[in-house]
Amino acid sequence: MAKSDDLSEQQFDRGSHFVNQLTACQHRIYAFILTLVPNWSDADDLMQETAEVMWRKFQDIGQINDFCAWGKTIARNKVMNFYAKKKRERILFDDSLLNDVVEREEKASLQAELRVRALQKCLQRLRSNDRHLIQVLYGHDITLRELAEEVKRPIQGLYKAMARIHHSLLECVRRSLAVMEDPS
Amino acid sequence: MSSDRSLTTLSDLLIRQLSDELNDEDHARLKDWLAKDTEARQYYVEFMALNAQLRKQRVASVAPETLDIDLSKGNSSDVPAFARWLEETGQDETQTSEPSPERKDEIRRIAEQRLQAFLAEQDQIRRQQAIYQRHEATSPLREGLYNLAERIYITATWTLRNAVRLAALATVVLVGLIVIHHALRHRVVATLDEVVHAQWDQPPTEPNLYPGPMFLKEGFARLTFKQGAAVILQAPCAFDLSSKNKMVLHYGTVTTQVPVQAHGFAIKTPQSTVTDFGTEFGVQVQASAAAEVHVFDGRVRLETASRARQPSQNRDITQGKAAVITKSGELNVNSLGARPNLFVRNIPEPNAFGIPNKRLDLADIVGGGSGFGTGSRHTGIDPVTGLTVSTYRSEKRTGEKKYVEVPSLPFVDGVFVPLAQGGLMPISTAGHHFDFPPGGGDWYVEIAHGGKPDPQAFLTLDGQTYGTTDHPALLMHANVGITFNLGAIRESLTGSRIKRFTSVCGISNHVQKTKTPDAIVYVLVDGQVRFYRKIALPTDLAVNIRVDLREDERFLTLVCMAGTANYGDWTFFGVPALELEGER
Repeated sequence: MAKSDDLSEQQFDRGSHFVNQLTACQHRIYAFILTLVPNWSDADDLMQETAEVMWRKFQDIGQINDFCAWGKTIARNKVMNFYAKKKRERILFDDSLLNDVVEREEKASLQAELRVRALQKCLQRLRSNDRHLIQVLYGHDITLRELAEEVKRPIQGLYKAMARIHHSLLECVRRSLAVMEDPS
Repeated sequence: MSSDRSLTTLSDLLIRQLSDELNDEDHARLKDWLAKDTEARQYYVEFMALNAQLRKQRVASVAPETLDIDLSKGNSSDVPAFARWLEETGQDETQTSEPSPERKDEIRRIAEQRLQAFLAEQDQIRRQQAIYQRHEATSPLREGLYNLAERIYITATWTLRNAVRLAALATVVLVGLIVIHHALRHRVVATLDEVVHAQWDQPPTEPNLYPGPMFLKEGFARLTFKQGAAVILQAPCAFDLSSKNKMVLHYGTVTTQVPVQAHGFAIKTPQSTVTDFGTEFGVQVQASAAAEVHVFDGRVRLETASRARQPSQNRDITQGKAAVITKSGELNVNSLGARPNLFVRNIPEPNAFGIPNKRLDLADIVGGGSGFGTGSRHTGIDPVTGLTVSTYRSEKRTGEKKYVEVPSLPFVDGVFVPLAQGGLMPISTAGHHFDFPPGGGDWYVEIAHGGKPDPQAFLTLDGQTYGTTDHPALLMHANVGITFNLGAIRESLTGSRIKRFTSVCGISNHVQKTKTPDAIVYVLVDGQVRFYRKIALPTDLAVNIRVDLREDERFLTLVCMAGTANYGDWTFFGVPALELEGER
């Protein structure tokens, strides 16, 4: 194979390597961002910006030992820049609380795969109507407000329903994790 | 804490927080709760992890066994079904853990459709590569992925052995591409609400707009970002839609109104990032990358890009201020009153005379505008002091032997009153002179953006009334002269070329009812005569002017002087325009 072909193959390898690793870590990085910036739109933007920086740096660095941790470091810098531009009173955590939240997120992140499995089971256990609501919202990229307008229902009722369903799911995940960790 | 009820309340607050629907009071309540209650903080962290997982299932693969609705985006057939469920709240249904064979076939079919759509889009993206390359690389990830896809396509012509091996690799990469591409690009980020005389490089085919580059060649367009920010674009305008609350402005002019829910809306320019804190503001990026930010209401944060010997600067710009970033990156802040009205605050009416990238209205510039309807009619310039006045008036006054600059109107180089005895007179700040005939000396009315509500605005030529939205008038009652700075106008136009000056000129025809005045009209370019006409009523009811302009010509001077009969010289230029065309 010609030298240029080798180079192309290297580029392919690097690109596919990056895509694979980002795909595997995207959820954990996104969870980290969402914990620090609990707003869908802002978190989406920060995820996009983080992925862009990761790709740029990845082309220079090439090999990353812990891709997810590296991505979260870049994401944290992005979040700090975001905080600097945001009105202080609209930020949920001050510096000391932020460290506490980051530590808790780190611990939760260690169970990420278990949580995914638990969530899938818990979704199955939801009442079908509740599951339907989750599917409509998360499967169709629409907001609660848009859904409320579409079905001409008060948004407050939808918020209540979503709060109840999320709480049920979270409690279910907690119980499942407890069983997984202590099967006896 | 820890009762189910209080946790559900916390869940409710968090759902609202995620959707940016939390009011200040509830936000403070949530903040206080999380600060004081460690259990609430733990719940919060797990709640966010849960939501990230749910979100991941949307943007990545969706396990068939967990879904029983149509996966195809945009198909809302399940929404009415959901509405029916809302009507029957409380009813449960028996669920099946395994989808039916028909359902599996449907899922497979939808997946195939998506893949076909993706491949078709990749093909379109390849064709759009040239457009991407014109812009600064703002999305290295996107570019990198496209490049990767392109390389796969090119090398697919290799030998069969390589092709097979690469096909396997391409499959892996494409799967990744679909995941990330879908997450990053298949989001509706804005909608196109209204257009006036709009011409696009590639016209949008639907009101929904997705992340990517766009180019408005001509006219105006109004978008609303998904987060709520409303943006008026003025051509020529090259921009990228980045997300629901962010855009990149490569060059052009935009005016933005940001409601509360869109606080944090950001416009990135080549030299800065403007972040809104709930306001109305305008941003103009010129061809040289110099930029202006005008804040009409509220406050924005301006962050300049760092340069070699110039670190990044953060500056809050408040209501009534204008920030000017020079092409060398220096930041200066002035009052808005010291700058022209560059920005339209509302999308103009369809009959407005000035059309971005097509026709610039010189009367509007004299009225303190951008040439596209942002100036004020009835305002003018004192030809002796160079100061602007809010209302013009008719009164005999005597000129002085000098050429004066107009500091508040950067597109106007200066004004003057030709000398009574005639002779050489400066007509530009660049040192151009012109040898005028005798006849000047006195002047009567300010050089003005003429028309109503002036009660004396008798601006008619050959049966047509001027001084209106669709027929503006540059009132130049003899003896006055004005020089426009074509260089400054070109700088603000970005991407547009000035082709020619056109107008209809004459003495307002109402005068002939009582008198038979005459006047002399000059059009000079860089001090050279390009048009001269002695106009007399009732012979010359309206005279057409057309003067072609070259790119290197910098100053356009219009002069109206009294003729032999020194009375009734209500001379003006009707529909005075610089005709434009795009360079792209």
